[in-house]
Amino acid sequence: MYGLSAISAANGWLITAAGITIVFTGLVVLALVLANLEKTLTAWDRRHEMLEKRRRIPKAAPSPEEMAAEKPKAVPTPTTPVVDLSTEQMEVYAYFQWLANRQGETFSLPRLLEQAEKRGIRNPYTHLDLFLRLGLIQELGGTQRGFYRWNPDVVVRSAEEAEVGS
Amino acid sequence: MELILDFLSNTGFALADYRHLIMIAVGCTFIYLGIAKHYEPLLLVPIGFGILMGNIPVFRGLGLGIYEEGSVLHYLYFGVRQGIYPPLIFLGIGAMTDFSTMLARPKLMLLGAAAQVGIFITFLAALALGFPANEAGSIGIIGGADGPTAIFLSAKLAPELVGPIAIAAYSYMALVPVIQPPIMYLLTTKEERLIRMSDPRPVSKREKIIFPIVGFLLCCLLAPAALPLLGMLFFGNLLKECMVADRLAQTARTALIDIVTILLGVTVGASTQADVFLTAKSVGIFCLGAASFMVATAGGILFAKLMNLFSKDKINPLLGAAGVSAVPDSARVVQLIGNREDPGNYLLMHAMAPNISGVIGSAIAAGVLWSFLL
Amino acid sequence: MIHSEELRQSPFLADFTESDIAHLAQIALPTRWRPGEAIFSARSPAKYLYILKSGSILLCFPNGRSFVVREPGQLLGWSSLVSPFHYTATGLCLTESTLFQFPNSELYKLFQMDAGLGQRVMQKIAAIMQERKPYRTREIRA
Repeated sequence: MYGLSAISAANGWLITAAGITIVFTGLVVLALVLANLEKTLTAWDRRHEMLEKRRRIPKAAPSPEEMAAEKPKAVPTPTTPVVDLSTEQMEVYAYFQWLANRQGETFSLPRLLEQAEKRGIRNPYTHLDLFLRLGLIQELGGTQRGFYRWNPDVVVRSAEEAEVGS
Repeated sequence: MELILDFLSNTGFALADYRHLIMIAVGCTFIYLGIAKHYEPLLLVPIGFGILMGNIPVFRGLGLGIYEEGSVLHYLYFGVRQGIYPPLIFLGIGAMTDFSTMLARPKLMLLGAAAQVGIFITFLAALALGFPANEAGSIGIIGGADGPTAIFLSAKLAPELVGPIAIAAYSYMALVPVIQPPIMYLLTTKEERLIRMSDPRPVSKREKIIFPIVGFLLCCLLAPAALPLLGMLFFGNLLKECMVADRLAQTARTALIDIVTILLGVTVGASTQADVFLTAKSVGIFCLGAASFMVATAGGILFAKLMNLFSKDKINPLLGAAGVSAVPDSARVVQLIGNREDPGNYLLMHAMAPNISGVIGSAIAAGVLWSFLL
Repeated sequence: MIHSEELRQSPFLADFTESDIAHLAQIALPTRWRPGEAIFSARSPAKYLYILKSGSILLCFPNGRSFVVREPGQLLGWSSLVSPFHYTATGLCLTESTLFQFPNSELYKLFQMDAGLGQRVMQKIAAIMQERKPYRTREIRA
């Protein structure tokens, strides 16, 4: 038997209607119970408190010290007008400047590293990290975020120069 | 010489025909999809290897095949035939699932209920195509997108179809990322897909502990036939949430579920012996299974749109697609599609609510079908 | 697995509960990288989320922009949890670095077990995405 007659013969319509109704009823009832579970529990808690007449202990306000500790600390802006570099660092610094200038006044660090690697510059990654930490290379702001330039406010000198100077 | 010829005639090479080769190719495809494509690897790899094991042609009477009394595989298959493995898997699922998103927004449970429409529509379609009622029920449950539930019900109603139904159910579960997105795009507008859901309220530990007890009592009093599956699901969740039985919860969600998944996967795979599996009926099961899955997805989405007509707090209709169980893959697909439209829209946690209620809904539907059709 | 004490120092996890941190610590793996190594590459499938323990990482975007992450506890590889699950930047190691690695498959399992944790992580990621958005814009520099 096929088609609608097969469905009717097997009580298909009835089973389907009953099945969908039972599934919906089950989940709707469960949803209703869950929707009210929080309210019920809260009411239960209040009743308990009323009966027991327990004194509520207000949460202590945070002390000024705690509040101060929570405040983000202002990061001091390092001012490094003069930076001393070792001979090796000076050499890499000069290379980096040369390579960066090929890109223009502002440059991209990934491209700089790529070029430095191609030319076999010693430890380009650690040197780049050092120059960034010393503030020799500055990130630009606004729409230029993520691009960099050499910091014009920083004076770089070799360790030898520094010794002579001191 | 005669001895050697006798031996050679009993090897798998001599006994194999084209059907065995087809099934071996299917097994290899499952293994490939599991390993290379990461589609449900924990299920597809054991099932795939099980298919290989079940399709080595063996000389009948040696007690090797899964359908031969006394064979090792036959004993392991006992857990499938008697519906023992699926409730154990549900225990593990309960012990690893956090129901808090559902508790925070219970109205999303209706999406899980709506998606179960696919089960019943496919049941009707299977009846109309001439399948007997018990087989039609087993085929319809594929739309629940819940492998253990599909195996459980078909083991009870149509044990001879466990193989094809399990393979269809797990295949479609693995193919959730392929099947669902076109339906999701088809049934929703861009504006609807962009709807952002507000943050769910925090759920207290006490609510989480009470839920499995209340949920179990309500669901199983309404549909007692769902007791083996839902009982274990809620029991597993109680173990997880009560905090005093953490060792048991840990075992249920790790070692136990893994062991049962291995046994279930391998034996279901091995049950697909070519002569039993490669039939016109199996093709019908696969086609109806796919339809069931699609109707279930559509049911959830359309119901979400219907709810939006009456509700001020709009629901992103994509969440309806997570109403088919397939935890957590369908929720991930919802996240993926929502995220594609708006990278700042995070639907994953919201989708877990209909996803989990879909598990409960499909187990209730299985219980209902079992009690009506047995 | 790592000790949860190590994760607690991360500002990213500052407002997470002890149990959240313990769960995350269970799936975290410490990984060590040398200068020049790419921890992940832009447009490749994003399978891991990272939290920096020590060292410096340069995040390089395909549009040429970049920035350095060197503050311990910072998050890298959020694409592992956000569609289309492909890294949007390349993570280049500048100095010897240690990172905690979280497989996204394990994270999703964890979120399935604890939806609240998932919600908190996703909210944090949303904030970080917003912060890093200017770096992903295609605007060509002058």
